[in-house]
Amino acid sequence: MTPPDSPAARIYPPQPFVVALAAWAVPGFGYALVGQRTRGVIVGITVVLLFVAGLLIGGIRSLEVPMAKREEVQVRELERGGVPDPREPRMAFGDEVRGKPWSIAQFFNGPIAFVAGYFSVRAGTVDPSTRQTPGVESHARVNEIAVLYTAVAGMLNLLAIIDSAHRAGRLLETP
Amino acid sequence: MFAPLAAAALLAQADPASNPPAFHYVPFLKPLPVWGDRAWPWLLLPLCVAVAVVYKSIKCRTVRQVPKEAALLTVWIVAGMLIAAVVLAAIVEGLERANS
Repeated sequence: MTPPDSPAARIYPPQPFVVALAAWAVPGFGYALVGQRTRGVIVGITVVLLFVAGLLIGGIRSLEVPMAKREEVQVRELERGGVPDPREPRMAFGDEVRGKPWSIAQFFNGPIAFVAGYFSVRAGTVDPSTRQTPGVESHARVNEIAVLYTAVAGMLNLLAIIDSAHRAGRLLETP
Repeated sequence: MFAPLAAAALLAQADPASNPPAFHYVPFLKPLPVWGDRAWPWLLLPLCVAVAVVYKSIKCRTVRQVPKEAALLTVWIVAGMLIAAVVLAAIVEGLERANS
């Protein structure tokens, strides 16, 4: 294993679960905690850029958000005279996640995915007067590529989370 | 990383059949107009680069090795995808001929 850049990581080695949590919260930060700042910066910037690039390709609505109603369901409810509500209270959370499996991979991008998810729901909320949403949903190949970008970014960050936590464990073992 | 996105958008605009003239790209609110078959494969390049960079950042002992190793891995990934595309296209072509 590469020795840590900073002596602090050697003197006060962090707990692996703390490193894993930090690596999820800020992509690449787990490596910074084990004293490998350059590695962390490279991984963090790449993961965030990949995630943002996915949103630029497919639009914010390419994110799959569990418990959010689809546009056509909202329009149908408005036509029946209902109140517009983007939340989906009828489905169980597990069923929703099973129906939107890419959301699991996107979750590993950290809080940035939650913030983007919030804006995705907002961009997908139907305006009762125009019956349209502020954001346009992508389809076919563009949607596939956008989802692939955001999901691969999450999976790469998961890899970094596991690796940085493993390195923290090795630091604890080293006398 | 964003240069291939811009190149793909330009390619899509150059292909009027695949790009409805009324569609204006709005970042984050509207999808990138890359519906043409000439444009979207270019979007796989940044993905390959990112996968190679993160994978090699994790695997390499020193960070100095990362640029060279990642560039090499990117070439391997792209070559692998091209070979897979050619093989799959040949299989589809063969099946089409067998069925006609």
